[in-house]
Amino acid sequence: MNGFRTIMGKEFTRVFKDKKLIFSMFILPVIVMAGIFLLIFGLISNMEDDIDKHISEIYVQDAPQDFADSIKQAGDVNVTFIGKDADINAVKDKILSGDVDLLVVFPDKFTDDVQNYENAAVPQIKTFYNPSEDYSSEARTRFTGTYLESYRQSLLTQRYGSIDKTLAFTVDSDNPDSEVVDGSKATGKMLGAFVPYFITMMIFAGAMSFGVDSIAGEKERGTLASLLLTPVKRVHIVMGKLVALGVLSVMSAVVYLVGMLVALPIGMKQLGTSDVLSGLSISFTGTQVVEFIIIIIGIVLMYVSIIGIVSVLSKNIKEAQTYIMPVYMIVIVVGMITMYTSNTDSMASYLIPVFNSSAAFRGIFTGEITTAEFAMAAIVTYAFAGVLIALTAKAFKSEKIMFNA
Amino acid sequence: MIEISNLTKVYKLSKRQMQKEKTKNTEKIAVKNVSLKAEEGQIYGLLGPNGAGKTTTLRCLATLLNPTEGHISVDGFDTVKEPDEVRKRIGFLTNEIKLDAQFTVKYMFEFFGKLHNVPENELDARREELFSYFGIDGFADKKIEELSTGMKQKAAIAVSLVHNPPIVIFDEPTSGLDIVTARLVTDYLKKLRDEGKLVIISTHIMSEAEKLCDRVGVIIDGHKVCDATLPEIYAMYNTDNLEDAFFEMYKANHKEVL
Repeated sequence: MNGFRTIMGKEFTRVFKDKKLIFSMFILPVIVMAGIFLLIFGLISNMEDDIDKHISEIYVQDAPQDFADSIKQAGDVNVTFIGKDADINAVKDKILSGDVDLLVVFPDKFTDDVQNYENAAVPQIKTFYNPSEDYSSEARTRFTGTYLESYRQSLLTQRYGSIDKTLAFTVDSDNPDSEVVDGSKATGKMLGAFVPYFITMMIFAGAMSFGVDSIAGEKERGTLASLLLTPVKRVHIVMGKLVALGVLSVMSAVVYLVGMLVALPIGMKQLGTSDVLSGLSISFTGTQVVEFIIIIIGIVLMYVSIIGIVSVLSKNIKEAQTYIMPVYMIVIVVGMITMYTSNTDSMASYLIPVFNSSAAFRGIFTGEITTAEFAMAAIVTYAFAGVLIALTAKAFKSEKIMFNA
Repeated sequence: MIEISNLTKVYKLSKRQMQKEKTKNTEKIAVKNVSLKAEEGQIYGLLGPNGAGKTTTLRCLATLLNPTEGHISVDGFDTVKEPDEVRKRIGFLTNEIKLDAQFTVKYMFEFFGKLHNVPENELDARREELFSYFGIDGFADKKIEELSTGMKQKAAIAVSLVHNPPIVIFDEPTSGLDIVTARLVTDYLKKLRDEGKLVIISTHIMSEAEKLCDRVGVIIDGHKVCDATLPEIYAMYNTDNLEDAFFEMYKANHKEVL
């Protein structure tokens, strides 16, 4: 066990004595994550601000006098009234070129039809806008949602005396208790969909960068052979390297997660949507925490042992990176499958390595996993990792693999 | 004591290796039926041209390769059946095995000391002795990657001897070294022999073997063609230098492969 500890210690020293490596592994990710989030949120909120501030250029043809009077005071639209005979095609061209945001055409005899509603057909107001232009879409939303809607309501009020008389019924207009939900489970479901996926991906990515160098790199540089000359058991050499690898990859995943958790609320606030997060609450039972720890250690062991066996079978770093990429893709795809599969009821699916641990991880979050399913996933994951570690240790003993002999 | 009995090592060649070696054979015999014995208090020199099988023999001896046939015993322990016991007893140095470039000499020395289970106080004593003998003190805290070739070799020698092994196996220990450093190394090997240790070196420098070795084994094309003390060899080939004797052996045993 002395050899195991010494080798593990060296792997840690390799990382923590190297300022560049510390920066690139533990500091840069936070900066990059926070930077990307803040940049994206910043750009979105800038864009929304800009659209908000833009005063819509609107042409209205043949507007009834009372409507024209009401809209003249509006601050966020600049309305140009045109007569019945004006050329609307010229206005449409201006919409295409972006000079005008919206054209609204009132039909002939609009006021008369509204007055004689019992005999006349319902008059139709036509709008023309360019949905590929943000300003134009916003102009139409503003105009129909705010100004035409309030004009309609004022006409209906004139007609019936009260707007309520036009409504047969409402849905949930005064029912704050409408949502009957277990808050913790709902949050678990939301987090369960994406956190396991995110965590496993980060762990794999971290282990990949450390592991390829620590095994394939040492092989390539001729430093692994010097370890093989010592009386340390091969399996201790493998375990020393893989456990260090696991710890480092978990640390780097945590760093990413922290980076994201720090950036997300700031970004949301900037965007004015922080209320989305305030509703989130999650609490775990003791069993869930234990299950969570068991499965995450299993996942880490499994990933590092996958990376270990691929690295040891490769002649150099480049070859290892080439072989590890498809495996990484599989992990990502499997993560996505569990993310978008609503039901993993069948016990058989818990027999498939990699898939079962992702599914179990998610099941623990949502609280939907049974003890038997969890046990199955945990046993298979640990057994799979154990087999891979044994194979890696066996590969360390093979002269063909280690010395190409 | 080291006893090699009928050692044969056959490499299986991959397609790419077959193309590289321009051969249609799927196997390459590196060493064929080699037996030799080396004892404590002796410097045994393994001589031969490049590619003769010296390094393969030493790697089998160091437990890194398994013999295809035959067996090797190191102080009574078989290299295949009890490799850990063998590893405890040998210090092995070869050019292809390197120290981690990003660590300091001192760290590497202590790292391998711990892997060899050298107790803390003994490790300090070993470090003081070896670092001062090889003049490593001046660069003990430098990273391996910052060292010159000679410094690297000195560091590698010190690290390979950290556990004070009774058997020292050095594959071309002076290759790439300047004359001063080379002398330092050969003098140390003599010191080890005088302390009663068994030293095995491989070399293709005849003058070095002449000055250093008590007994010489010559390997040509994977076959051992000679195993004797220097005076015995001189008498056999009626010469007063090893180089002439070696050429006689080479002419008699090397089959020209066209």
